Amino acid sequence: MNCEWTKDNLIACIDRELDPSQELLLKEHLHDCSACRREYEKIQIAWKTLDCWKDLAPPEHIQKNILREIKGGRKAKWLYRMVPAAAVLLIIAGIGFFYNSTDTGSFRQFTVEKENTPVEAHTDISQENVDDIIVNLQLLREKDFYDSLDRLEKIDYLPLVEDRQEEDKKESNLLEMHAA
Amino acid sequence: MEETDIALMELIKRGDDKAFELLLARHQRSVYNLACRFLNDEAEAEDITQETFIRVFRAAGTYTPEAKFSTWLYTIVKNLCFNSLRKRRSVTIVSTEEETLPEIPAENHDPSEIIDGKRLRFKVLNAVSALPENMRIAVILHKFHDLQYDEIAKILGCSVNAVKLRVHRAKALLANSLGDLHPKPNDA
Ligand SMILES: [Zn+2]
Repeated sequence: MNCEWTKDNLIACIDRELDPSQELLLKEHLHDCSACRREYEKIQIAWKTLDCWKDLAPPEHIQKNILREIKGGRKAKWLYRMVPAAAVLLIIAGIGFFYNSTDTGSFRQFTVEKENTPVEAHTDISQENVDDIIVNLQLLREKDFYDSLDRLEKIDYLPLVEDRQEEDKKESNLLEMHAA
Repeated sequence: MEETDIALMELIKRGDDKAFELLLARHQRSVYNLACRFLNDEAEAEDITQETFIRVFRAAGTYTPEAKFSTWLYTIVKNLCFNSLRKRRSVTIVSTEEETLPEIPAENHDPSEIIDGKRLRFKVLNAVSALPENMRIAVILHKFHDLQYDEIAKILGCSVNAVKLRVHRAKALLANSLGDLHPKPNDA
């Protein structure tokens, strides 16, 4: 066996990939050839030296991050599945709100906003309170009436009857002048 | 009795979070160290470990055990590591010289010098990092994860002979860079 063949097969020999007869021949060559023996040792030393590169312990936060991500993903998935149900609920709530916001809605707003009203929202309903409620309802209806009076007062641009008569007079004067 | 990885995957598929925690505890060390050694970057290895297990979890529903679980797991890690290298390359302009043949970092040292563990580790790290990527991943899987050539071939998507050739070449290159070292008896 020559040096070239030996060097080509050193690693195969170390990895026990040669058949027994070839291995024997290679070992015989190594016994006699110091250069090839040195190569053989270098390969073994280098491979063994890799052992000094020890494992590192993975930082603890890796596990925490992964589990948080997984659980976050599960929640998002669950929420995604709830979207149709939430939409139905929203529609029902919307319809409910629409019906509530007609008469009783404005009444509720009125009783809450006006701090001096005799009715309190959270008291138990006794006969006395029922009377108060009736009074309040009457006040509420009347409020609309008084509000309309306020609006009328503000409309001051409508010509009064006297003014109108005066204007008619001016107009007829003008017509007379043209006729003359 | 300890559940196999495949049994754990089946439990995860059915929504068992504890099974996932068990699988994570069992494999996170090897996943982290594979990425760490291959990329030589602890922060990137952390990201890859996280990404790997998130992918495992998400794929649990469609996972079919065709090979060993670890083969599948390492394939995910390998793909993420190579993606990471690709990204690195897109931000760093690497000269073609650096990509060709690996060399030991130029440092004058006396071959007969006895070196301490820290310096030895540094030299090993540099020598392995200098190996071409395909050789490096094969060496790491073979040396540090005790994988046989056929399993490495499945992970890397190449033939068993290709893996053998890569490991042989890597051993020859490492012999040049590390074969002259004389570690202290307790270090290596
Ligand atoms: Zn020889």
